[in-house]
Amino acid sequence: MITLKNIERFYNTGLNKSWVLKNISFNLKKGEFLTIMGPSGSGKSTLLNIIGMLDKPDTGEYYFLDEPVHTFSEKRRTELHKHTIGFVFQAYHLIDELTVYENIEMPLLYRGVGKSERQSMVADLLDRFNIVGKKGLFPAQLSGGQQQLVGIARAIVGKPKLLLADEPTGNLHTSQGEMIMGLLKELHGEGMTIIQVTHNEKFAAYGTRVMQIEDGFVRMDTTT
Amino acid sequence: MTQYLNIMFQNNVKIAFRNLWRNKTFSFINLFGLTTGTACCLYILLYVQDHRSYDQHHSEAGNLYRIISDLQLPNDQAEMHMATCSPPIPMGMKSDFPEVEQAARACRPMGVEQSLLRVGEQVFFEKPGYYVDSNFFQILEYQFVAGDPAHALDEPFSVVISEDLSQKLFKTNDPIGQTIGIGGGGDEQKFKVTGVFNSSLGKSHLHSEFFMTMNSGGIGEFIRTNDSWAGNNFVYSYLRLKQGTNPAALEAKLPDFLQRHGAVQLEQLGMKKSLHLQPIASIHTTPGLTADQATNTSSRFLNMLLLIAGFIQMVACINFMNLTTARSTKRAQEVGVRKAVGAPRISLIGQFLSESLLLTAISMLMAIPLVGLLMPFLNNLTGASIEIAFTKNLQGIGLVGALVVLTGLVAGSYPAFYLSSFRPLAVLRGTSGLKGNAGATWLRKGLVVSQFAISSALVIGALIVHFQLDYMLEKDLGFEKKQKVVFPFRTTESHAAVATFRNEIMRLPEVGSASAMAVCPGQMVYNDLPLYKPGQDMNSATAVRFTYCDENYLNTLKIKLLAGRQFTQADTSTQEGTAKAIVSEAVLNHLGIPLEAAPGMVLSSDFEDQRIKITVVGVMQDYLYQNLGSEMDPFMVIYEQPNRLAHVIADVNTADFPSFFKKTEATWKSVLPSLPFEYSFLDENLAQLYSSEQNLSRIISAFTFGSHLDFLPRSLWPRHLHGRAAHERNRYSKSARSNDGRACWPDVKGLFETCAAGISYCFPVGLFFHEKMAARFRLSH
Repeated sequence: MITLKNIERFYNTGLNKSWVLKNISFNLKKGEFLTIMGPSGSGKSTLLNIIGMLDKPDTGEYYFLDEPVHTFSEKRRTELHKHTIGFVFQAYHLIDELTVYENIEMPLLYRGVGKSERQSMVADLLDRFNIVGKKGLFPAQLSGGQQQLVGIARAIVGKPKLLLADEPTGNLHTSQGEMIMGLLKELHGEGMTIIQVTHNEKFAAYGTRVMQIEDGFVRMDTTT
Repeated sequence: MTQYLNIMFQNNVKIAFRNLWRNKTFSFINLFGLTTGTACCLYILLYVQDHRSYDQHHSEAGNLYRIISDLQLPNDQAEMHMATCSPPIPMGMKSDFPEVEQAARACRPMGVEQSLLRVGEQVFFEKPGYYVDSNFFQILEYQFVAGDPAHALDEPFSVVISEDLSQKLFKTNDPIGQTIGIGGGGDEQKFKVTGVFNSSLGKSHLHSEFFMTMNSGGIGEFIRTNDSWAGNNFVYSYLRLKQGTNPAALEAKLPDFLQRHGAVQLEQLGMKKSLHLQPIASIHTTPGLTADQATNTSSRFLNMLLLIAGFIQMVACINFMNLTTARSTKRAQEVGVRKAVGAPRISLIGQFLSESLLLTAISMLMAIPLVGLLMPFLNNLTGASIEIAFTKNLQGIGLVGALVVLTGLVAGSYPAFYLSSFRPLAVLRGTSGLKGNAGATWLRKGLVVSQFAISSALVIGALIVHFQLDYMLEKDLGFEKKQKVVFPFRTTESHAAVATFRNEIMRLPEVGSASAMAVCPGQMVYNDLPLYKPGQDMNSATAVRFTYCDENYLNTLKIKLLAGRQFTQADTSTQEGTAKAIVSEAVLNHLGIPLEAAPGMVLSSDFEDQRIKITVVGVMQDYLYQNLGSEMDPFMVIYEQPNRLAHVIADVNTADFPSFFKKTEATWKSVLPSLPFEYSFLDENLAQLYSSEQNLSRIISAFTFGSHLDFLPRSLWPRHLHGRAAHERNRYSKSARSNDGRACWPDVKGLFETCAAGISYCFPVGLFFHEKMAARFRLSH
């Protein structure tokens, strides 16, 4: 599903290059659940953003569903990203002025989904995540775990091909974190391809494949 | 595209409302600024629209012209631009040029401030009406509520009156056939009411409460039978040209036309004269013509007001932008999230624009009733009579709509395009998109500088106008205006009582001196005479304006006598055809007469076969007898018996005016039982001459104040906003390096920088204002 070839990302600091990512190459098959681990500043979030098409590699090739994303214009990249990728953030990044329902509905609006279809898609998710009673509340009225639940709902409402989660449990208590990870595992079980970035060894084990990144290099890549 | 529009309307308005509600302080400051700005702007637009609406309502407004004259008198350097022309000219044009469809004249009795109207036993005073030719209403249109506009003035001694006057005189709107005695400036005559009009069609430069037919003897008869093509330039003349006539081509034929009819007369008077056609629709916005019917408002002044309105709205927009960007960290996060879930930039731009449009629409909805509420006060301030009638006025609705959209787009453009350009990655990871954006920082600083410059220029302009006006009102006029009470004698019959009244009040202990005169200082002086000194002729004559007065004139007005003597009662003698005059210094300067030689000198003027002789008995210091802004022109006063004069001015040395007026009223009643007692103060009358300048001053001050109203809440809250922005920066940045104090400091420094820049920009603007005002009053200081 995803093929990365010699992906590199660097900053020019005077005469030297400062590498964020160096010589990253790997394949990801449909249905895999990849966990990227590594110390702070190792480049794992940058890698996730490149895969999520929010960032561009300086060199290297990136094929998404056999499409050469590295050759795309920004506009085409945005279009592809909009229809195929869902994002879950550490800080949830829900929009304070929108209700739970409206936050989940937002990606569908940008995709131009019709009103009745939107209603049924959002209603299904609310039902599934058991938050129907909270649909009229604003993010500030929810607990962290509930907010992340909404964040995940927002990420998958458009039925993306790939779900990216950047430390989804980083701001949560252990029990809430387990609930979220359980949900991701459930989605994976239904066939969703997932990439998550985490510091947490225990939560890393929810995935089918773990990749260790250090100083921009892939140190270890194990599939269980 | 349609899907984004759909989102905009479904979602953005809702979000905009929630945003406003959630950030109450922010919304209040923004709404306050936008509402006051919009209210000022709206009133100015209405004011300008009102002044531009004059005489647009006539069905053939584009073909209507007034004939105006440029005159150059012998030895008078300045060319005169008159709003009038000689009586036979319009009729001559109608018979000579086929392209002239209709021609009519209008004339007000000269030197009459108030006409006397008598209905039965009751007496009313009213501004003098016009004598007009019977076809007048076929050129200038008025809404008739009774009578036939085409024939109302056919009969001699018929009069058409306004609805207001009809109510005042007859308490009815249908007084057709009733009789009014009209006097003032001549004998009282009986007129029959043949029509009633109102001005519901629109405002006109020619505003009058009543129109009398020209065919009514007196001055009307004088005009009808007059054959002077060069002189007697006191008639307002209107033409209706055939559809499609080129006015410039017609104007080009006028020099020949004037030579054909008036060559001999022009030669005799030594006068150069040219005629021009002034479009009716532009009369109200063209000030500066001598003897015009009303105080007009210059187009330039209106444009300046529009500029001020633009400035005010611009300042409000800039405030809006600054306030929005002050909390952009918060919004940047939203932009990041929306982009991450797939929002294209255009929909974000749409979102921010719809937010600002909503805010401007709300402020407009608040500004309209605000202006409506303040309208009486604002009208009082500007001396205008504007009504809010959006329902009647499609143009007004369009104006408001355009103002909302324009303000919303301008105010929202910067936040919309700036915020929507944030890269989602940067804002989501907390490295704020604000940082490192040098262009945006410069733009923001530039906005504050221009805002400050605009504000300062407005304040400086307002101060300069104010000080100039103060200077004009306080400056030495050459006579004393304080403690002078004016008593007008409105009817010809009442003049017989002038001497008695003057002598009676001079006996009062409060009265130092009292003088009778034809024209008070500040009133229009119509009379002039070209005079030359012994040994010369008309070729070296200087036009000298003059009025008549009694022997107490100089003492009462405290005008300094430089040589010779004052008048005595014996000066009435007109033997050998000479009148006695006291001339101003400027007369001597113009004619080249040394001061010592002036007393006793006889000055002459030739007109046709007549020679008029004036004996100089004294020389007085120059004083501003008429237009307080103009230079000291040659002037003289000629002795006349009190009983032929229309005003008495008393020099009063008391603070207890109520008791003074009680005594003078008793005197008045004893000598003139039939006329109401009336008085005014000379200094107040003079201040009236400045009403347009005072209006200007008040308008500019008021709108400058209005444009600064929103500084008030802003100056109280920006710290709060900055603090909040800094707080949010900390919250979302991983390394909490900055603290509140340091986050605020650069803004304080920036404020000083921008203030300095703003001041340096506004000085040239201030100087420009100053030049304009100085030029207007021909002052140098």
